[in-house]
Amino acid sequence: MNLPAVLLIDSARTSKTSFQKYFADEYTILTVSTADDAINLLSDTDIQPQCVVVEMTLAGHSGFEFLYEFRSYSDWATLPVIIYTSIDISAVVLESRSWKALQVTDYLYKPISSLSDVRDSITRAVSAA
Amino acid sequence: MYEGNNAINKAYFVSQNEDYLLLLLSEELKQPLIAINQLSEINRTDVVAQSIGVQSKRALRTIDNIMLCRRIHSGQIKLHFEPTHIGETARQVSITMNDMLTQQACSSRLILQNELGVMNADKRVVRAILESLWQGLALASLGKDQIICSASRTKGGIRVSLRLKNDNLTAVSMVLSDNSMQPVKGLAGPAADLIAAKELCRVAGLSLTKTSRSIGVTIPFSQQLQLL
Repeated sequence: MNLPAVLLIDSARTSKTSFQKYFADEYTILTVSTADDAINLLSDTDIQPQCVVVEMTLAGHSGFEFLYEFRSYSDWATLPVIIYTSIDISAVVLESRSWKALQVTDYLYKPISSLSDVRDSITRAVSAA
Repeated sequence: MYEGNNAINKAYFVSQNEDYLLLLLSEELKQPLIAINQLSEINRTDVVAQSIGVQSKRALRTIDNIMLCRRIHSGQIKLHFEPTHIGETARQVSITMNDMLTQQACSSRLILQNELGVMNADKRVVRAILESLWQGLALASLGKDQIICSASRTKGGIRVSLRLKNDNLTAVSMVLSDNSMQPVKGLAGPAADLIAAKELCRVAGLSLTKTSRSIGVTIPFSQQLQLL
C-alpha cells in the first residue's frame, strides 16, 4: 500500500527515528538532516511529499533559509510546510508580514507539542491542500 | 572615565557571554528531553516511560521559564501586552499540570471568582509564573495533597494564589528565604521553579507575595489598560 509521503528535515537522529516509528502506519516518512539535502532530494528525484516538516535549527543553512529558498520555486510555492522546532518563535515574529510571506501552514514548538499534535497538523494540512 | 567605560564594556561582554552560554546550555538540555517526550509518546503503554515523559515535560517548562526570564532581563525580548483573561490562563495552566499532579499523587481545585474580566497583560509571562508556581508547589508537597488555585479581584488587581490543602508551605518558605545558594536536599526541583517564578515577577514588575498559607501573584490594575 502506498502511503502519502511526508518529508522531515531535522538534524536530530532521535526525531527522525521517532517520526518513522510513530507514523509508520500512516505516512511514508522521508528524512534528511540538512536544508541542502532536502532541496537536492526534491529537485533530483520524483519524490513529491504531501507535506514538509522542518526543524529551524539545522546544520548549515537554517530552517528559515530553507524556507526562503523553498518558497522561491513555483513547484513548491503552495506545498504545506509545518515548522516543528525547539526554537521558541515569538508572537511578534509569527504575526509579522515576512513570516506570513513564507506561508507556513503551522508552527509547533517541540517542548510543548506532542507527536499527536504533529499528526493533527499534518492531517489538516494534507486535507486542505 | 576611560577605566569606567572599560569596566562597563567588560561587564557587558561577560553578561553577553553568560547569556549565550545559558542559551547553548538550554538548547543542549532541551534536545534529549524532547527525545524522551517523543519516546514516551511512542511507548504509551509503558508506565515507566510515561513517568519519565512527565518529568521531562516539567523540566522543559522549567528551562523555558528560566530562559524567558533571562531574555526579558537582558532585553532580548520585551513584554508584550495583550488582552488576557487571567482566569482562563489559570485554568489552562491547571490543565497542563494534570499529568504531573497525577504522578505526585496530588489533586487540584480551581476557584475562580466570577467576572474576573480581561486585562492587558503579557500572557506568556503570566502563564510562565503560574506554571512555575504550580510546579514548585507540586514538587514541594509530599504527595497526596491538593493544590488549590484561586483567582479573585482585589483592590489593586487580580490576584492568583496557590496553596496546599494539607501543608503550610514550610518547604516553599525554606526555598524562597534561603540565600545560601546551596541546593537544599529534596528541594532543588521546587527551588528552580519557585525562584523562576520570583524572578519572572521581578522582571515583569510584578510581586510574588506569600502568606502563611498561600503564595501568589497580583496583576495590578494600575499597570494595565482596562479593556472591559
